[in-house]
Amino acid sequence: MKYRVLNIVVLFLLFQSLSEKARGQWSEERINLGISIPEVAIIDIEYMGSKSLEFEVVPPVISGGAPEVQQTNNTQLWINYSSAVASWGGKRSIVAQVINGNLPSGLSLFVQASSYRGKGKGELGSSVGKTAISSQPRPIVTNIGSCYTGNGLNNGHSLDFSLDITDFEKVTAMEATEFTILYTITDN
Amino acid sequence: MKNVVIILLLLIVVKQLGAQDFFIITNGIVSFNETQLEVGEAGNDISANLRSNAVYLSVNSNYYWNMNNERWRIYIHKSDINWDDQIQLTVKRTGKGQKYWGGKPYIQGGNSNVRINDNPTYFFNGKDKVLNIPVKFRVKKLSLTMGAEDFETDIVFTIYDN
Repeated sequence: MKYRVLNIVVLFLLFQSLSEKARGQWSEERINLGISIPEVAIIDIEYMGSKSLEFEVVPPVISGGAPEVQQTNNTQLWINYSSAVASWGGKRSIVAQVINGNLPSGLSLFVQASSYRGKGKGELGSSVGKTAISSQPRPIVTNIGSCYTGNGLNNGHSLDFSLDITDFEKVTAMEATEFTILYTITDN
Repeated sequence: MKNVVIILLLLIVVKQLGAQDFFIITNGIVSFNETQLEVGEAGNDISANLRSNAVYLSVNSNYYWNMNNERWRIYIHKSDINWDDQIQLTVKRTGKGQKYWGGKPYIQGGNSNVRINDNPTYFFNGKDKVLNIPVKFRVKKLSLTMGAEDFETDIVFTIYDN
């Protein structure tokens, strides 16, 4: 009786070992892999023709008429940008401001960014519409998330400028005036 | 009594065979040269085709002796911690390593890029114990549209006895 029990136990162990072997063995090993996309915010202006805009205030053709402002050169400007914001971060804007000089008195410069166009992807920005530019930064494109516009002309937002006489009394004859417009992509 | 002794001997032999189970040891940390994550010019996406340094896999066993006729195969999958499914991750074996007891190791497959998914995919197979098999990872299709983010996943190597 004692041997019979022992036999059964040993046979059970043997069966279990064989079935383990028949099942095939496996084991796992893990290794961690990580990669980070950093915050990115870069912008540039692509242009056709000239990067400079030239305006001229033309005297009225009839006496008593209002002078006109005409753009004298033909140019096309496009804003390109690439942006990566953190998931907990907000949106970005593009602001424009006049630096290195002043607008002539009595004149106001306006810029209007078009709606987005091009080969980009992601959360692209929206135009604010016609915006007066001064020495203070003013947003011209807002709600920029993680995206890229595509590079070159016809990608991003084209810029239309207009120079309006807002206070005729202050307009005086003067030499050519130059100033620079600075565009910055900024966190909201 | 004689029967019991025979069975016990058989049991020891079977246990010894069972003790030949293979396991993997990894050596090294996966790292990418993230200066390769360049946008270049404004308006462009990241031009990301990142290659990692080599990490090393060793196939070992608790069984001490040569196991020239013992075959194994390795499968690979990932277990995400924070990942984006658009990111394409591949792995490639870039060498054969060294045989534990010297000589030329027997390894087949895995020398072209194998896509790593959430489900196990066959990577390569071999025989016997082999040390320091180099493998490299490649990451493609990262995009700025994914946002500024830390992506992390565990790579799982599973070895099966053939």
